[in-house]
Amino acid sequence: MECLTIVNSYLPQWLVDSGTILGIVGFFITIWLLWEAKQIRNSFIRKARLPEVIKDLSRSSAKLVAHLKNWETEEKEAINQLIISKALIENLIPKVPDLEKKRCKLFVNSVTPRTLFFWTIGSSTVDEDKAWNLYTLLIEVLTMLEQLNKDSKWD
Amino acid sequence: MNLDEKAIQLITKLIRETSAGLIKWKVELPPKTLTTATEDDIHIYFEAEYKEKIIAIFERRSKYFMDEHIFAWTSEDVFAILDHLGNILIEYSQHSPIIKELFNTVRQQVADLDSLLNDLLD
Repeated sequence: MECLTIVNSYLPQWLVDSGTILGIVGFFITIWLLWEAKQIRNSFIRKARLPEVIKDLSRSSAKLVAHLKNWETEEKEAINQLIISKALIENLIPKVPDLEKKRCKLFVNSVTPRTLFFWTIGSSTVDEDKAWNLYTLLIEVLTMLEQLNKDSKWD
Repeated sequence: MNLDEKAIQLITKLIRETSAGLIKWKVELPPKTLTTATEDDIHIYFEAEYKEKIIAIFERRSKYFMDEHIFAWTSEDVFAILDHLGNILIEYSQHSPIIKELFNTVRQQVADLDSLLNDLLD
């Protein structure tokens, strides 16, 4: 027959309970600090990278609109510029806040269709109307990023 | 959809239709509502008629005061919709590459850049 032995603590019960509560609180504070550290890291990356990406995106959007004006002869070049813009924005997605992230993802998903299991969402063909719509979306993203860049100077 | 998004959509449409030659822009004198009782200077002013409204794009230069008497001139491109009396109904001047692009497209159309360069090259 097994006998259960209870070892008496040398510490008073109230101290053990307080230690347990502080341990739980400390766990949540650690999670919050990790989240804050991630935000600060992203803010530093944004400060360093945003101006460069904005410059590249502006150049790409200016080339894109020039090709769009001559869509009949410069369709391929326009699509190339869309793909370049998409790559630049994709690189930026993990570094921007949620609101901007949503807009960036909308542009990326509009340029190339998403595949979910066996279904493909969106169309892969880009005609003149779609290309102009994508240019509008690109300008919205660019305007938003420019404002974010101004805001990040105050971070 | 907020005002910025709508303005961007409209300006993109205007770029497209201007480059296709569907909208005819011309250089005009700015309306008095833009020039009276202000120190701002309207440097260049383009106007067109679009869907029974007057649309305009212009460069506005304003004084940026660093001290009471020390200032520097700054400039911004402005897109506006006016009524037939010259009153501004909507003004969009947020720094955005789209206004600069519309400005370039309008300039190219008004100056007829292709023929101008061809003439100078001949």
